[in-house]
Amino acid sequence: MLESQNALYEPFKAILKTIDTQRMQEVLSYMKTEAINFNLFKDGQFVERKFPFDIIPRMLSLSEFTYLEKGISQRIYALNLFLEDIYSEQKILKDGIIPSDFVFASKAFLPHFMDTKVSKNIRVHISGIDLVKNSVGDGWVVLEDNLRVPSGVSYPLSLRRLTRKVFPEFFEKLPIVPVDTYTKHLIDAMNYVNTGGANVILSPGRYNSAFYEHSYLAKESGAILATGEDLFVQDSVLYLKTYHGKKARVGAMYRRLDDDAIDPKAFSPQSLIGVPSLVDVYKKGNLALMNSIGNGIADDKGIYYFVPEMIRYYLNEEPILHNAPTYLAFFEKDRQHILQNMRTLVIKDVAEAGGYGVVFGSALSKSEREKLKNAILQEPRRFIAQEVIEFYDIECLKEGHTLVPHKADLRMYSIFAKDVFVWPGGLTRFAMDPKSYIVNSSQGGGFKDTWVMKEHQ
Amino acid sequence: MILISPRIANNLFWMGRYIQRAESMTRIIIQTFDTMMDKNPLEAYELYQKLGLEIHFRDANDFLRRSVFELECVSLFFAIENARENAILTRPHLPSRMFSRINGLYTEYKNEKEKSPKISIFWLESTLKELDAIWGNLDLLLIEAKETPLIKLGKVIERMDLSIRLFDCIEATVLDVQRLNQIAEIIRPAHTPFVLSTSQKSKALHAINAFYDTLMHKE
Repeated sequence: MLESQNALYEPFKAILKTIDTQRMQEVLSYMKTEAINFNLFKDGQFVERKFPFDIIPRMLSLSEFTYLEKGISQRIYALNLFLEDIYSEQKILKDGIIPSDFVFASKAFLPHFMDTKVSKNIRVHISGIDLVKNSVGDGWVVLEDNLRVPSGVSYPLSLRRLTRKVFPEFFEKLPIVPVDTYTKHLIDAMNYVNTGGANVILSPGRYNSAFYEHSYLAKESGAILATGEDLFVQDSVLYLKTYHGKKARVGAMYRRLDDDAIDPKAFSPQSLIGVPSLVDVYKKGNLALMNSIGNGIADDKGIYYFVPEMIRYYLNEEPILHNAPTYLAFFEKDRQHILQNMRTLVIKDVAEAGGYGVVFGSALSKSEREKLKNAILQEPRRFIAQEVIEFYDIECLKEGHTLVPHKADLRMYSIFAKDVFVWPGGLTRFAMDPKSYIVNSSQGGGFKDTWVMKEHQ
Repeated sequence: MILISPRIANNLFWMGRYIQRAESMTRIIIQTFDTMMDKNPLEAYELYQKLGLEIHFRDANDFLRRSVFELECVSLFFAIENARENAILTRPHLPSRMFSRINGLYTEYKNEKEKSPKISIFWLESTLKELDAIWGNLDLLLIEAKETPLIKLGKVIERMDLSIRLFDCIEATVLDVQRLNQIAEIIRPAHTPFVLSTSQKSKALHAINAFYDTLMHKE
């Protein structure tokens, strides 16, 4: 079903009909000149790849956005409380809301970080919540919470800036909510938790797929873009080296490295991109890390199942946003359901990300299904299964003004400072193959901007 | 407060060097091509000999194509590619238009390299206009910024280096010595001024390049 056939899109389409789509070339040219890239390694070679995009945005009415805003805020508050709890008293486990075994069996739970206090009790500073709009009833459904290093926000921000230049008629005639507040909120969030010193964005470096984004956010926020070699720890304080031969204290770090890579002394000794002893600084409360270490336990694909319960437990509220119907192979009853209904389910490996480890049961051969069944029986904690959601398509503009529907999800971003701010935009990712459900950029998916409309047209 | 790490300072410095190298090379290539056509067919061979390279060219067009795109590590494209690489690494420190121009120039060269077997001198001359605009962006937008002297340091050192290597003319660098010390004073106040006290080419080159290390506390 087509989402872009609803009335909200009509004024947009009316303008689209009047414009010369050859101007798309201008957008492409801008993208090229501005080096708006998504890097990858292909056959061992570093490739600067343009992130394919489409000019037709996803459109959200203000009331729809307000609903999502409330639901996402609620979810982030609950997930933050969960992390605070799980790394301290673990009340949620003691009260039997989540099985302790299930948490402790996850590699993402880091017992070494028990009782580590974080600045202002915030652990989920920047998040990306992946949603789809179900075309057969339930409306918006959360597919995944990304609470570690969610990427992608710079692409719709950059696209918005370019389309304002190339297609000003849309912005002149349609009541589109501006999105340029994102970086102001990012700065506010860094300043809010800063323990004294400079704000830094820690990047793995030039060859990371999202280096453009790191660079963009540093430029727009005024934070220093650093790599591991620019930083050092002395007496449990993190410093940035300066070319004067001096040092400057760092008080807040938006890190774009996974936990494993962040400190070779505390995590993977092979990491060449982290900062030795950074964890010591963090544990002593001398640095605000955004996002906190150990967040992986909250965005574990298995823990996702319990988020509605977390909301009830910590906030005493009913969840506003729903999860996709999910079965945990960890539970005997669910496991039997999964094994008996594999053909109709999507099976996900909780250890994988970026669209990898996602298998549609219907697409498996008999032997592949048997192999997966055995894997589930051997390691039930590793797998979840979900009902296939028939999510909406959004049209993409092709040559000759033709419109072709593609499956599209939505990643919405929030920033937690004093309160949770949900950005009135988002990264809409679409599957490059019109028949595919896999929208991840690491698997060749494209992106669209997301427009929140101030009022109904 | 703008904080610049030694890594970024180094990238800014090298960006300045490669932009200047691209500018100097464009001028030299155009001039050499002109001389090769009907005055001295060995002009290009002699040019690269001064750089310590033995390269023979079939004719003026062969020289043009190879010196602009193909010679490993010494082509004009190599200089532009490296200017761009350093610009990517220092992007948050650069004015947006300066970055776009450097990246735009690189993109144009990359496309031209792939599609065009023959190089037009008019097209090559347009590089100079683009490089002028890049320097202009620096003067207009970064006049008070801490990044400016680091880029300009690269520019001056590269110019001095090339003057000595190609023209063997240490006197030509005298004005640049004055500029170098003005820039160095901003980067590291009360530094020991640079003095070019030798007329020996290799020693002069060493002194110029070592001065950067002194300023960057690498000595």
